[in-house]
Amino acid sequence: MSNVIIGTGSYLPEVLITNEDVARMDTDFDPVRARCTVEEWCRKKTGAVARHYVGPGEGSSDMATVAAQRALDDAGVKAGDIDLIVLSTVSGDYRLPQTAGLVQANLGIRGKFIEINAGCSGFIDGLMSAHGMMDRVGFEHALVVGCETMSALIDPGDFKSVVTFGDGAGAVVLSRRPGSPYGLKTYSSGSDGDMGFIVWVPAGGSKQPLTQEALAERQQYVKLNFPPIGPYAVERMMYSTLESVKRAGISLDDVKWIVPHQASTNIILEVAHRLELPEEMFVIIFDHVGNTSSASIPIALDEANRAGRFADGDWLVMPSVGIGMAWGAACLVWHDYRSARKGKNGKKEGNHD
Amino acid sequence: MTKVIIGTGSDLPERVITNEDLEGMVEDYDRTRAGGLSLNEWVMQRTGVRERHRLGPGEGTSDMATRAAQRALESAGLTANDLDLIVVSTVTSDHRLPQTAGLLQKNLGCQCKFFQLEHACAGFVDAMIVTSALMDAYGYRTALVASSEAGSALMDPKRFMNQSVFGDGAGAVILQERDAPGYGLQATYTASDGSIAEWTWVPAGGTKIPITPEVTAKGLQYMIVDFKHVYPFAVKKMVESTREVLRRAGVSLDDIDVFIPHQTGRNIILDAAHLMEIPEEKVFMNLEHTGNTSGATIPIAVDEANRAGILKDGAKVVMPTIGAGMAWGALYMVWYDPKSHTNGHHNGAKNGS
Repeated sequence: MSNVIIGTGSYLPEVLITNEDVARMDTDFDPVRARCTVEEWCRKKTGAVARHYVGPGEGSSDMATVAAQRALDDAGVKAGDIDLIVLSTVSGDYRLPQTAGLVQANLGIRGKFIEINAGCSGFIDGLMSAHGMMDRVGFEHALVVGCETMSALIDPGDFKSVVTFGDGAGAVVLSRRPGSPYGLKTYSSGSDGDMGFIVWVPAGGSKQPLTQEALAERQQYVKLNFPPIGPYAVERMMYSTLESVKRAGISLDDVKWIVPHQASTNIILEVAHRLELPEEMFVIIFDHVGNTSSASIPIALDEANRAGRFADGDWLVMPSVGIGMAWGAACLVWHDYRSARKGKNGKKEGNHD
Repeated sequence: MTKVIIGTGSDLPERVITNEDLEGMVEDYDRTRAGGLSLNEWVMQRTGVRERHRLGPGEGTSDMATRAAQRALESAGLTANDLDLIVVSTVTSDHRLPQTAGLLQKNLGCQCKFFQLEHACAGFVDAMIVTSALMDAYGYRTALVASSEAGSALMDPKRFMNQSVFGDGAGAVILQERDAPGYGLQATYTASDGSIAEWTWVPAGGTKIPITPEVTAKGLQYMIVDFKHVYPFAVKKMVESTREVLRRAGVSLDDIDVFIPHQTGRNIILDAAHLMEIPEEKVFMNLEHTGNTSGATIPIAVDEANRAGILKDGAKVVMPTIGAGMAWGALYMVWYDPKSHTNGHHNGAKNGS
């Protein structure tokens, strides 16, 4: 149980969609009924300011490739040293082949790839799978990636979907370090398939193929039953945070940072208040990124890491909740790998270089 | 402790399409070009698929997976509440979202954690490897590993080649930790190569090429298989995977009692068997009545072999595969017959979530 993050990377595509841009779109937002502007609605209900969308011809694999390359550079690990890729997405480039394989080919990696079909909880499921496979099969360096092109799944006329979701990719490099005090320690994770239809995309599968009729009925787009999602998300993120912390044998007071799935700023703040934790402990990037599903935690992790917010030995908890429905949190001890490398007079730490 | 299969189940939907049916349905089979052969004669000289099953209207992969899982639970003498983990492999979920794994969980009425792998023909082997790692890492004791595929959802109804090769179906096994030294999953091998991912390709229906009326008019929602490249690759990788997993297990080819390869086609399977000098009577094939059901072939074949009494206690079994991605690998197991171990008990641990 000691696979350590030794590099992070993320990518947000160039097309920026502000709240003002959304206000100009042809959505079902009705300022009269809402008694406010799009900007006011977003600030009050979710905290969204902007989100990024892929450009023409750009897909999940392209974003994931850049994020993964940045994580490799940060780790000082060559593509050839990666022996496992675990990638999570619900918005792959093609029905087949898998986006994970395209990323493998783009980076020139020869290792095994696994693609997990999971949404907002996908990065935690990816970490769990990578971690287990590293321990059991003995993979030394794993790339764990979350990448999503949510803009392709949302109904451009559905205001709430448009302002909630964004595109992006995030990645971490895990290094197998048996016995290390650092790294991933515990998880708490579960699934509730009986609630599967509160977030769903009806058509495009084996039961409901994409026919002209399905397209006319906009069945190719994600349908969200918003009212039950908020309370479920808050409750499951709280539970998985507390449970993973308990399993690590520490208390909530020992935790320095919470890097939650970016469901919305309001949901994250609700979790903070209910756990009686200061808001400053929470890494929040929802305002400028939106909900990027399985990419949101690794993007938040990368942004906070590059801003130098994590110190060596800090306990981090990463809670998530998402489509399936599914939920889970990972608890880890941060390793300041950059200082560790510099601090040893150029004597590099670990066996990865 | 070792991981043994204590129950198997499978499901083939009721609708059967024979080669004669197919010849009347497709538009591109030309007897003159085929040297005067009927479609049945042509196919039986090559892949050897006489008939295949197709989902009925309104059915999806979750329905087949549920029936296969219930049969596997029954054969293990367990109920769904005994499961700690569900891992499903499919590239043809009922809906774009949620995952078929969640619908399976819902149908079975259990609360355990589920994972869904976006893997095709190599999906069962990869799902077993991931499951095994998750069991070791997180203490799950009893897992359902299933693959359910409706290739029919990805095939052009007018073109004979894919229609003749692929069938719909689901297979499931119950994997459990037992104190049974020398039995169960002894060695695994898995690998991927995304640089040749385009050999099996479904261009539309992902995020890069969304389904539109123009796209469906061009048939881009259907699977394209580069059979010229896939055939020799499949033979080579079946052989390589078998040899590698046996090398890891320290077992010789001569010691193997039963080969249960991915049912990719009789010609590919026999070519691989001949290269390894494996007598045909040791090779289990059921594709004549199932076709290639992608990741579901191995668990369906294991279930049929198990129910036919071919898998005796202590039998040495190899399961090699090759599939989209491209991906390949193999499992090596020593068959465990619970009836031969009457002091064995099967009290699955409760939900590990």
